[in-house]
Amino acid sequence: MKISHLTDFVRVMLDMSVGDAEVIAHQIDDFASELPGTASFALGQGVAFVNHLVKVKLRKSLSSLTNKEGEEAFRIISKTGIGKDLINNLKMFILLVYGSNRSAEIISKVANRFEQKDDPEINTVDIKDFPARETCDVLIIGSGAGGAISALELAGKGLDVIIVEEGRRFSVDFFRQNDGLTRFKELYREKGATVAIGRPFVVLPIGMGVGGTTLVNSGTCFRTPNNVLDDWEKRAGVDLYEQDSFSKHLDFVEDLIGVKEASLDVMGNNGKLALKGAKALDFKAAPLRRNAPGCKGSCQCAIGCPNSAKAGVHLNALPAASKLGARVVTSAKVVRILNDGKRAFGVKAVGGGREIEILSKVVILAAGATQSPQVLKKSGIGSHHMVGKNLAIHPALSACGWFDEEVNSSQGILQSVGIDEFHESDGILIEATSTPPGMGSMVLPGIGRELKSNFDNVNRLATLGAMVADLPSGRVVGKLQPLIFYQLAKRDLLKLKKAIEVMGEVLFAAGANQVLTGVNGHEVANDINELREIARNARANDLHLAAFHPTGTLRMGLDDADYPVDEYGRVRGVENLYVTDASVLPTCPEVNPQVTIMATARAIASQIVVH
Amino acid sequence: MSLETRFHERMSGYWIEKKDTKKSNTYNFCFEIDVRLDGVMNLFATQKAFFKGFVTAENFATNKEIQGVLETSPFIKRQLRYSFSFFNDEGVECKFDGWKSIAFLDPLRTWTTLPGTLKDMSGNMIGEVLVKFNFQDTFSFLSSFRLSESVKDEDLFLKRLTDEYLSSRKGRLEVWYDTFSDDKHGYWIHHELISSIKGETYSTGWIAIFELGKKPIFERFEDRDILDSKYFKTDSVSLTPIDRIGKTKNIEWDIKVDGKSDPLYTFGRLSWKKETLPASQIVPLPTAKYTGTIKVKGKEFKIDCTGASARIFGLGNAKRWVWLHADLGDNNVVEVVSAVSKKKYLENLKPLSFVKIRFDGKEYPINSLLCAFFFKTEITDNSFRVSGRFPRLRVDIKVSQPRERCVVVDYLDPDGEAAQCINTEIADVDIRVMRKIKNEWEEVFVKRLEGCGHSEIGIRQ
Ligand SMILES: Cc1cc2nc3c(=O)[nH]c(=O)nc-3n(C[C@H](O)[C@H](O)[C@H](O)COP(=O)(O)OP(=O)(O)OC[C@H]3O[C@@H](n4cnc5c(N)ncnc54)[C@H](O)[C@@H]3O)c2cc1C
Repeated sequence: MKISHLTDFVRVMLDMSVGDAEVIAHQIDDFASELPGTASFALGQGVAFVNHLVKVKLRKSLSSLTNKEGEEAFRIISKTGIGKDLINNLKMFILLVYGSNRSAEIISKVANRFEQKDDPEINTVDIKDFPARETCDVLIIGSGAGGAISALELAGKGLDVIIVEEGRRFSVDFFRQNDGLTRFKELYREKGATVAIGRPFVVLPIGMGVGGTTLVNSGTCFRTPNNVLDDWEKRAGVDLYEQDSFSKHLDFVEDLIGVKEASLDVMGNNGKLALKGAKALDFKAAPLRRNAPGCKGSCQCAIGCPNSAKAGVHLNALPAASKLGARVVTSAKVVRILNDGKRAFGVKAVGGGREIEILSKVVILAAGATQSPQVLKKSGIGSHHMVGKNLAIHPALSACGWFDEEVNSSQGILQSVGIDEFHESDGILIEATSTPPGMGSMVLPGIGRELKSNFDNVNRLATLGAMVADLPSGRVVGKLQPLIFYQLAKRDLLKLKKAIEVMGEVLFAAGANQVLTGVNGHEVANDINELREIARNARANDLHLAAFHPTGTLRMGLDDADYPVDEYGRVRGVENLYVTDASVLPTCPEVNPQVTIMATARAIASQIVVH
Repeated sequence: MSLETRFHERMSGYWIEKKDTKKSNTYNFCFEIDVRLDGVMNLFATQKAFFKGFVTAENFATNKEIQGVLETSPFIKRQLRYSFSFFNDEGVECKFDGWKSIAFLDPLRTWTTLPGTLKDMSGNMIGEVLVKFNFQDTFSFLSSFRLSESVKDEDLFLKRLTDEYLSSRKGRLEVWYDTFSDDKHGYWIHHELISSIKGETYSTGWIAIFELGKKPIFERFEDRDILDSKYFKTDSVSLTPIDRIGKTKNIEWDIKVDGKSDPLYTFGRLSWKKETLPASQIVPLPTAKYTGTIKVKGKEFKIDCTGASARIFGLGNAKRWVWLHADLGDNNVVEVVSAVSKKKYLENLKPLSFVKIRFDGKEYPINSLLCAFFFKTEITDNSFRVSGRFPRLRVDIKVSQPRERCVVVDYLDPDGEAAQCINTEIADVDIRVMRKIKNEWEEVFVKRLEGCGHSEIGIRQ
């Protein structure tokens, strides 16, 4: 990528001096170089193309323009569809880096506000120190929500359990000592740049480390809604989801990870404004139930809790399983489930220039909904026609409101209040969610001076997020690298548009004097009517979508033909191989899924008999 | 009848001590095994084979016996898994578990690399092992592959005694012979069953007594009929797996044989079990204890000897041959049969020399049939020398049998031709065996046996 082109782009976009812009340009370049090849290539091409467009339209090079002239130039090229998308996408990168720079000091201060808690003991061994050959009773691929609880359950039966985890072990020191961007890059797969390809693209961050995505999730805990359980029990014929028996597993999980209603004391204004707006409209709303006992409201869930309050499985299930003898091999990516076509009997994993093989009596696949199908395919046992299909992602978007008073959304609980007025009727779940600047799905509007001033006022911004229960419109393909495709269904687009409206209503009702719609090209609404208009006219491509809850790629059910995994969690056609992660959920669970995933995993694991 | 596959494999490399996670010392590690697989090896199946051998883990276990299982499944499971247990230098039992993981894009490396772990019996990690197949061993590894019929010990001794068996094979000769000795004496008891080309079967045999400084005593017995369908029993002698009883004109004997050592297939297993060669010799009991008495005209020899019980089948004697059995003590033996066929065209070839040396539980060369073509045999009237130079093995055997210590025996072949052999059970023997380990020649042993080698030189007039 040409640094000079990037520097000019940053200079104009953020109305900065060349020197400042160059610093940021270099940071972006560094970041891009760590991204998968295609992403960094696209970024470089994008910047070059903007320069080219400016030359074509104005017959002058971007470098010869002043910041003001540049702004005007960007505005002109934004009138074309392609120019608009391009500038917007590039802006996302810049905001991520710039936002991280601006908030670095406060993030570090907040992270070190309270006394540090010791990390609980987990039996981890880096692949470099692990023998090339080992055997055990149960081998689990992935230490995330599903893998960790499976380990706990089976280690509890006295079995010798090994978890193989692609990511590394993060200590609380790491969270305290590093800036936001570094944490973000390290904690997420592909530096957080995973996307689902489609129109529009969907940003789909996935955690990677000991604890999986629970390391970085927001800690919101919902029990699986009864209507969803009924549907799963009926449609997929999965006995396991019989309400009474399943609720025992839900209870166990909630107890294990310490689920409690969020406390108003640390909630912060972002959540309180949401409650206020909902109350004014008489919408059903309440503080969310969360697995964050002792939450101090540091708002850093998504980049690793510095207070060890948000109780990802690295703080509960994994240490407990470790006490029972389970081991975790870290930085070890499973590249093949060893099998003879009929039976699984271990895995091969690579990492740190080393190759190991572990034989086991039972293999449990819990690499997450985006990775598990690929692991199966790579092992030559993913031939069921539904493997990788049926991907639901629970797509999300956000809306923000400008308030007169200070909101300081980065002080308080990251995800604090749920508004479920339209949950049962429309599958729309609204959650007050504030992310560190630049890291959310909201892209601040404006170019140059306007963008800069928006940035300066960020502390007066309140943010809501909405997720809609979607149809399984996506799939994961690819043997070598998983590629994710997702084409938003018409029905779900309508739901998303309604969600924008509802969020706008809540924000205005809470006293916002302007709402940022998140709709590309129509970013600002000054009143509710304008907002409705914008929402109604929005095209799918204008939305900034993100998703955090991929599920269903190895769905579980009775019918051989349509469900790659049977009602006991076993991969069809392969003995001794189970799946216990988000992949097995038959449809979108309609709520934040971690509790559902863990209860499912436990239900499956508790039935596993090891000979 | 059931078949079995056998081969010999040697893997060497290192092991890393993992007891103490902080320190990790690296030491040499190697093992050498004889693998026995029931049936024919099938790459497209999952099969279990058993093996015995020796392991050396530097600083931990020195040349310890191992027993284990090899699971071969190169195409289905894509692995070859070796697990064995042994007692280390301190007498603590440990186990090795490892497997080659076959990758078809990288066959050379993956078929020859065996990583594994060393654990104690309760599963605690002792160390990590990485051993490789040494490409210099390819020749001996491949040549060690044998497919053969699996047979019980008793069969080895008694097989081919029945009438049906013999009458179905005209022109055959079956021999049981025992040679044993103490400090001063050597003895030879020989039983022969002949199915002449005319279709008659008859038995014959003899006993010979050798004493240093004295003239050897020799007497024959001759009987037409075998009285027992199971064992070799005639009016004058009885031969069972444990007894040698009989009498001739002047000599009477009653001897018990006791031994447990594994048979030595001098010509290779296949030649014996499948009769792939026109003749073959094996030693069912290479080291046995002989006790009892031999009386010669009232003089009694107390027998308390070590010796060997051997078997031959064939079409009669060779044109020229030599034989040696040397007992080196501690179950270590050397067996040599070198012969020139009397068949037309083959008679001008140099002798084929089958050499089998068992020392410290290992056998050299592994495939005696393959090596038979490369040994050199020089024969004079009262001595011979058999020597061989191979990429990783050198053997030099010199035997001298002074005439005064020998008996001369006339044979009559099934085809009616006569042959003569000059035999002694008190020969002098010099043996030297070297092998190459990591490019260095190392002496396996050098031995001189004075007056206690068993040997024979065969000639035809
Ligand atoms: C930013 C964010 C916020 C979220 N917030 C919430 C929330 O508030 N509430 C909620 O309920 N849910 C939330 N989620 C979702 C929730 O965390 C996940 O759905 C859940 O963790 C998925 O569990 P899993 O076991 O399927 O996979 P994961 O937890 O993702 O675990 C999979 C693990 O497997 C490892 N792995 C993958 N491939 C391999 C391989 N080949 N070899 C070895 N290891 C491998 C991965 O590194 C990972 O550690 C959030 C997600 C995100 C991204």
